[in-house]
Amino acid sequence: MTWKMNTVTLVRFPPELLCHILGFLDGYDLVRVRKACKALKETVDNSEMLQYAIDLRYFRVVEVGTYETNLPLAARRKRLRHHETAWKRMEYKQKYTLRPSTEDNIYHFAGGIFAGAEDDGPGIHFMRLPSAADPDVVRCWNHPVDLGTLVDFTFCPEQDLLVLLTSTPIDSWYSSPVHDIHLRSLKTNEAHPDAAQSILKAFYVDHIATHAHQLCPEKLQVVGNYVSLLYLDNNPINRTVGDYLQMWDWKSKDGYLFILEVDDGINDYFFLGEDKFLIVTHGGMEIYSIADKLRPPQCTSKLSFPSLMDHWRYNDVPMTKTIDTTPSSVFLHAQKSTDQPSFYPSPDDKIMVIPVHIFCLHEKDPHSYFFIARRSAILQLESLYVNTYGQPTSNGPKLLWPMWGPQHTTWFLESSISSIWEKSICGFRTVWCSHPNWLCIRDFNPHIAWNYDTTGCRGRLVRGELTSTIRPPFTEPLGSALGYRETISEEFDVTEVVVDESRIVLMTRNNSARLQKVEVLMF
Amino acid sequence: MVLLVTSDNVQFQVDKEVVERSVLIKNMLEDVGESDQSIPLANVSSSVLKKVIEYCEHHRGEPLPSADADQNQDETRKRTTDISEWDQKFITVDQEMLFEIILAANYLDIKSLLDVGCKTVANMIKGKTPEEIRRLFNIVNDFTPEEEAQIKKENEWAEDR
Repeated sequence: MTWKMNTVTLVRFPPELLCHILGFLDGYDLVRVRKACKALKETVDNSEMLQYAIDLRYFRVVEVGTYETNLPLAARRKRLRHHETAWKRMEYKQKYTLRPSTEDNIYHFAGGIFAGAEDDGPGIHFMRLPSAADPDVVRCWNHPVDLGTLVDFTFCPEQDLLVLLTSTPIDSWYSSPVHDIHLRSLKTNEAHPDAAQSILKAFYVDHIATHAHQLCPEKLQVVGNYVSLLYLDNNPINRTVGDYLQMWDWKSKDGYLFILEVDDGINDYFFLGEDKFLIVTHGGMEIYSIADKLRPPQCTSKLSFPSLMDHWRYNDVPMTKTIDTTPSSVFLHAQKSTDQPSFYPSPDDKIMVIPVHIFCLHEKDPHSYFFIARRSAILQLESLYVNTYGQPTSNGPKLLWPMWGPQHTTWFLESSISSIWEKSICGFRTVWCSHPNWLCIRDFNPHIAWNYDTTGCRGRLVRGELTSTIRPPFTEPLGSALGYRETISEEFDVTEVVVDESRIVLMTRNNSARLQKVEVLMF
Repeated sequence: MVLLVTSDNVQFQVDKEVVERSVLIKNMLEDVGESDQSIPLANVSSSVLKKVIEYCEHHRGEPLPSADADQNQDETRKRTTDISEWDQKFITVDQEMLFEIILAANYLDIKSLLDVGCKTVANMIKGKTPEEIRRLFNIVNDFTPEEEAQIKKENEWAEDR
């Protein structure tokens, strides 16, 4: 190798220039850079900016909110550490109690906005909840429901989109209910300016329409350009219709629309990205791509759940609701600048909570489980599937559980099935009520298992491991591959809970399911 | 027209509008006023200046970033390493020239060119192992085995992504 003494080399760059170069790198890259040699390690270790980039990566968050302020890096870094410690120790900064005087039984929470309504009710009540960065502001507003009867609603604050599902009365038992999906502005309740049509009609295929009375709308969702609605066959004795997922591109004029029916039925569905979604079937999962708008959704892989002993079956009735408040990257850009930095989960990966219910043919009650998997891991299964079986077909094989499951999942058994089972996720963090009245916060960020610091923590660290233990009624090992940090709270009187990046929202209902109290814990 | 003289004594006649993309030269011209005097650039060789002028010619007339925005951007900038197509082609040079361009852009205070250069180096580092980084930039591993073990321990979390 020829080596000229006067050649400029990277390590001989002035430190500020080297920092400028390294400032374009992600925390993972910076960690590798500091392994290369002493000079580079010193540059990385002596720069507050680069250390902050590594910290953000370690905690898997992005900072939002200080674009226009001159808050020093050291202060922002300190704020991040405080924020993470608060979550770890379950030490919220403030508590705010609201006492709604409504009988709301449907609610939604996204982008810091909590909304509730009664089905059949006259309107929707919105509250912008306070946060630690903005503790005093609670803003409330109402939107009347003026067309039809409210069945469900959802909204997407980053797109100012409010989606209402209404039904118009049915004349006779045999005629189908007419479900309309209204696309409104969250701010004004007027028709949304970007909506190609302000009202979308659910049910338009004849063979479904004739049996529509036994279909029940289960899950309404809006993700980016897609509005989607899952209908479940509600006839427990004679499931002749099947489950249907309908999806619209709400912004495009000749609206991309499809109705998907899956042979194995649909228990639930989750978006994996802009153009991919996951269907949970009765006994497995299927991934679909909608990247090609000229074709119906393409199945890219089929995955099976662990096999069961004789007389055991996977249940076909979904029982667990998951509320995922992980913000999209669009949302992060839209946040306005404040004095305080806010930390949101980095949009590049997150966990998913998949509910699984099984029952024994001789027993009445099902047994409920759920498992956690990383979204990135599920997406990688697409190539594993294609490498194993080629392109999936409608009656093609499923990727067997031992090939993908034990190494990518961690399973939990529900302790009881008597109350409303609801899971809430934000990024890598989940919160749910554990028996009887404690909150259980689990953080699946894989980085925190390393350098685990127990000071002041009231929780424990559960390391991920590969196990081959088989627990009946399963005949294949379940997964416990993902480790997590678990923190148990003080006692709360609570029936439902949702979490976002900086809050836990607790709802308390009385015996007649009437909402009595909403508490906001701000971190 | 402005007359620039490089470290190896080569003279360049450049349009004022083009040369003023360099904040250093712009400030010098403002301080000195109209004059026929040449500007000596002791830190820049003719081969490098030729490239720098090519860059400034292409981007002439584009608005210069304000000093204020600059500082803020430095701190909270998104870690984006996108480079426009023309710039990408322009900066496809050998490593020595790339480093020289970065140093010249830094000295002449041409923010956009500095960023193009630095992003290019950052892109070269992205996704590489420490060993690959050493090989790429002729860096000698000067850690003792103990130090190496210590760093490995500190960085273990990033191994398993």
